[in-house]
Amino acid sequence: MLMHLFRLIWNRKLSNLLIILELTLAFVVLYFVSATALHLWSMYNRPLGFEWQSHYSMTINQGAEASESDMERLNGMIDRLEQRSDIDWVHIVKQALFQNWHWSTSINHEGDYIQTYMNTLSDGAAEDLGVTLLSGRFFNEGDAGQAWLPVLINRAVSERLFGEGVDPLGQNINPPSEDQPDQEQTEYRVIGVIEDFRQSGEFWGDEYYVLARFDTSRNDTFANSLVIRPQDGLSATFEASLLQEMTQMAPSWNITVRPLADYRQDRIRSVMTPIILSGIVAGFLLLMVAFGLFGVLWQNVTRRTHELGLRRALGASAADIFKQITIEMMLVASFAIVLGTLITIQFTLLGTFSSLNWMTTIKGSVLAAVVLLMLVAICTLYPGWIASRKQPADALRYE
Amino acid sequence: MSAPAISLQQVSKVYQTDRVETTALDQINLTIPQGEFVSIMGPSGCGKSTLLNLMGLLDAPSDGDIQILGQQVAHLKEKQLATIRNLKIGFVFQSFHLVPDLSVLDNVEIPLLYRSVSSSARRQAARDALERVGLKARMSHYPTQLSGGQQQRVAIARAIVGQPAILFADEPTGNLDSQMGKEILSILNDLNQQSGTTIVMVTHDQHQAEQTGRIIRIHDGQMIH
Repeated sequence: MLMHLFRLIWNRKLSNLLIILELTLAFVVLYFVSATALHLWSMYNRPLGFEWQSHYSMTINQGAEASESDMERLNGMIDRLEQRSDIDWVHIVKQALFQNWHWSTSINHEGDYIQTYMNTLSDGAAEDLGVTLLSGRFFNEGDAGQAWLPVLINRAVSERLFGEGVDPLGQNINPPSEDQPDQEQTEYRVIGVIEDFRQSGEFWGDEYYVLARFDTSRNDTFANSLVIRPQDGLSATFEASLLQEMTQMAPSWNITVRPLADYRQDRIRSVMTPIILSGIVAGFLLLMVAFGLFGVLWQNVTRRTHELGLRRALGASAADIFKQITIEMMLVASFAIVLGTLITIQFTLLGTFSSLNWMTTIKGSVLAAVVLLMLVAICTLYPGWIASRKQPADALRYE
Repeated sequence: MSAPAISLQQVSKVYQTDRVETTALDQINLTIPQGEFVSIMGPSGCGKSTLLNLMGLLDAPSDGDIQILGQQVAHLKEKQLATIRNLKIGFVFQSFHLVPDLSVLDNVEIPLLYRSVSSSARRQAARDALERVGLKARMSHYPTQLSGGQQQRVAIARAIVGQPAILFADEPTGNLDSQMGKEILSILNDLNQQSGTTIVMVTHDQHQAEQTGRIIRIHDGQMIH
């Protein structure tokens, strides 16, 4: 039966062409929606690499280029915060979490360069933020005064720069160049490997991340962002009292105190809003396709009333007719899916979108195919039912 | 003694619309023994095709009983009726009703698609049926590439491919010239005599009707004796 229907569809390829094109377009749209949704879902489910749930972010805009006195003042503020009875700990996290603060730099090991994101954390920050240490240790005061800056690299950097056979601990990154010994470049030494540190939240897609130590004893560098962990049983006036106290210490600075949860929510919203809007547009497009498909199928069934009546006369039951209409449309949709896959696979082959790796492509294609086949099945239900209900004699008489 | 091929008792068919009630057939009693070649004659609109549709289980009577090869069909479900049509009955229509997008061979195999028959057996049976009507050389052609007579021969091959006990032919020569008509009638006669197939043929042609075993005349939905 399947071969018979396949021959029938093939022989009607010209009249099926438009519907195949429509379904192919729908498949491509569905593929992008599915692949994007799967990519976002996979990113959302990856561990962030740090805890944020009950933490606060304090961001500081001191208004001008930071001076040594600014750092002294900041250290004074940190001391004051640590003395407060309603605060567990305070740490510098220079690139603020869940915000658009990023530091990207190129690092190399034995001439192998990668572009990575970095952050600097004060001693104790990584431990208190619950960063997962895979090997080595976190920063401590003993790291001060070295010729190199101690760093924690994430698993992706470790695998990329050192591979599986080499222990990254104790390895130096960015060694002084023999060709250009005068070139100013910070040398790092790997003191630990962490699972990850997805600074900007769940939808942070970049792989490589390096945490460096922030030396609070040095006055030549400033940090605009602190993470504060309040005591449990936080009072409603915590934010206000904190802000008031800090503003009194630095009246000219613009200080903001907000829960990290709020920043995270803003971040998710900023990513999800255009995605949801695109999803709604794609949904309407699919609805249009569904209406078009429904109309075409209805017209197709009406046009074939004689043929379907004839099949009934020759022994097909109503269920056989319904099955035939459904299988035919599934075959047409499958043809469109194959065509659509040939198109969408090009984006992966050409690397057009960084988010489209092979796994996402396969999963996205399968999901798009399932949704499209379901859509076609739903659109086939009524015209198929109408076709199967007609008495053979009426169908054969139909003009 | 074997059951009659077709038995109709007090069969009526009434078409009802909102305003009009039309009696197409009125209390028809008819028995056709197995192996008989019967022709049905009558003026246009007298109910010949309606009678054929009822006997062929393409339509349901408003009243009365129909038996096909001894089996009462009144209370059979739609799927059971389809099975009887598929296994016991063949149809030849005036306008051939071939599927234009399928080759001659694909058209002929259609009835076997609804049986548990392997693809190779189905194709072989279709080729054999086409050979019987002298069209084996045309099996990869499409209906539009054939003459009217050839198309009707394809329709006959399709009707006999499943070796039905009964063949209904609704004006099979109505769209053909007299020479083609003779050829088709000759094929039907051969089928009746060689295979013992019961044939019921609706025709307007008195000459053709006289070549069959019995003529049933219908007028205004009633049988004339």
